[in-house]
Amino acid sequence: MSRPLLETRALAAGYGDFQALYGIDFHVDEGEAVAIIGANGAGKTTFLRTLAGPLRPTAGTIRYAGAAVGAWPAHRLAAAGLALVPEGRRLFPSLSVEENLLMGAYAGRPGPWTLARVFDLFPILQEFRHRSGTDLSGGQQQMVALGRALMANPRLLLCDEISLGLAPVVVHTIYQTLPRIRAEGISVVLVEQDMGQALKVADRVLCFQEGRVALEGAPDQLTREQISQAYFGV
Amino acid sequence: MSEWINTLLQGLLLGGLYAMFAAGLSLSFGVMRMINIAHGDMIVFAGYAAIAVVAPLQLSPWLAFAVVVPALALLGYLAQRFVFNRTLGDDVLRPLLLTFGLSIVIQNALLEVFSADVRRLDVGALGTAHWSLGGDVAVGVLPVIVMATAVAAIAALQWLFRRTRTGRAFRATSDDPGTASLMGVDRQHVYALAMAVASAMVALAGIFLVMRTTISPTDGPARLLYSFEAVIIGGLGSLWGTLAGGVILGVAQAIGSKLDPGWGVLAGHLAFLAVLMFRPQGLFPKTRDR
Repeated sequence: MSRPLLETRALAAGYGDFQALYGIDFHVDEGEAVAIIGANGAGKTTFLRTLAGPLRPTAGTIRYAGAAVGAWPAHRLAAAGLALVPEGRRLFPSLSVEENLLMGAYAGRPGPWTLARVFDLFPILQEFRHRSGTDLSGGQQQMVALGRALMANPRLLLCDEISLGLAPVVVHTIYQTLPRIRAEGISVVLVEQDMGQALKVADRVLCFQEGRVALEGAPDQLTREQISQAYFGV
Repeated sequence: MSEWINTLLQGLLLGGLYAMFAAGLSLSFGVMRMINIAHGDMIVFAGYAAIAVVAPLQLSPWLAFAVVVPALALLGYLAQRFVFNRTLGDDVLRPLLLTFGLSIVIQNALLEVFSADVRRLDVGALGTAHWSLGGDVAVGVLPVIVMATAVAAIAALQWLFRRTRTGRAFRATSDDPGTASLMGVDRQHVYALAMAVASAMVALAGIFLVMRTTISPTDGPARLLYSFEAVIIGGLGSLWGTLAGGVILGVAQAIGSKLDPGWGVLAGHLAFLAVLMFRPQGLFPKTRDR
């Protein structure tokens, strides 16, 4: 019997006067992979940023590993094993690839992920380890961003649009690594606009529409029609 | 001829002191993006602190380092953690105003406690000791010690920034504080650590300042100006550039003073303006805009 690693109840969040999320009930179990899809502006990124700490919820609760964490700052959540691969990758421009990866391990959580294992997962990064992260291609930068999050040895990995702006072959390469990542028992939440990849790897999928959960279910039990209706709100 | 060589050597060694002035300022700007207007007054404060530690019991002046450097580092940590951090944010004016006020507070407190008389730290025979380099060329022992300390301190800072976990956190936080916090970096603590390191540099600089020359409570703003000039000449974000900036400023001042005793400071400003005109990014810029 799996239990929720992270759970939100009636979660609301936004920016100033603008409310972006309305009463989100969500959970991800130990070892589970959940995909969140939805159109631009549906609140997916806001949701991840609220879970990871940069944004505070305006209402509702977040429980992670048994603790109420809604008021925790980002650095404390990171130390507790919650890692976010942020939208747009956000590599540190004055750090080399290797130093970016080492920043991921800043909190010093023990676990299977080391520099050697990340280089094993993405061999190209080893070659570029002393380059500045911003000298790399978009796909390679995304590998650094993902590797950096893994270096934290997280229990829960949140990925914000890791396929955004990348060539399909690169997206494929990155998604191919997910089973190896999940094999360590890490729970994963994937936010995607491109639902094809997300539906293939996820155990469960949620579709956000205008800050609300419009649809939820296992990928093989949802029809194309249901998804497109939830996605576009027709 | 040897007179000019002596002048250049003096300027060069004075640059070591200016480099230490500048390194602390560069650090707080580099990591926190905070311009510390009270930086010069903190240097002068450290100088007076050294006098207060050593003078009453006629202790060895070197003892000042053991006491004042850690004390200022601690003070810097606490000031950043509990005061300066509260002013950091989108509004760049708030830390400026706060440190501007702090500058006035430090000057008046020093005036109240130490009076307006000029003071120095007595280093005994070391103050006039020199090594002869043949002919009439000689260098003072104390200025050489100051320069050697400056080089060692900057090398240590460089090592801290490039090779340690804390140094990586400094650079990452400087690049992107929000993303750094996602890695587990507690920004408040990292900023306070950076200010502690900067304050230790300030303490070193302040103690050497009162060993080399006399100070009065209102000398801070001029030291701040030299610090700024050395940082800008060297290029923002580059520690070795800061040393080069300090040396260029020191040499310019020494040459100016040699031509006319009143021209020293002016010549330093002119060298600074020349760099601004022909290479506004400084000689070895490292910092990227964000």
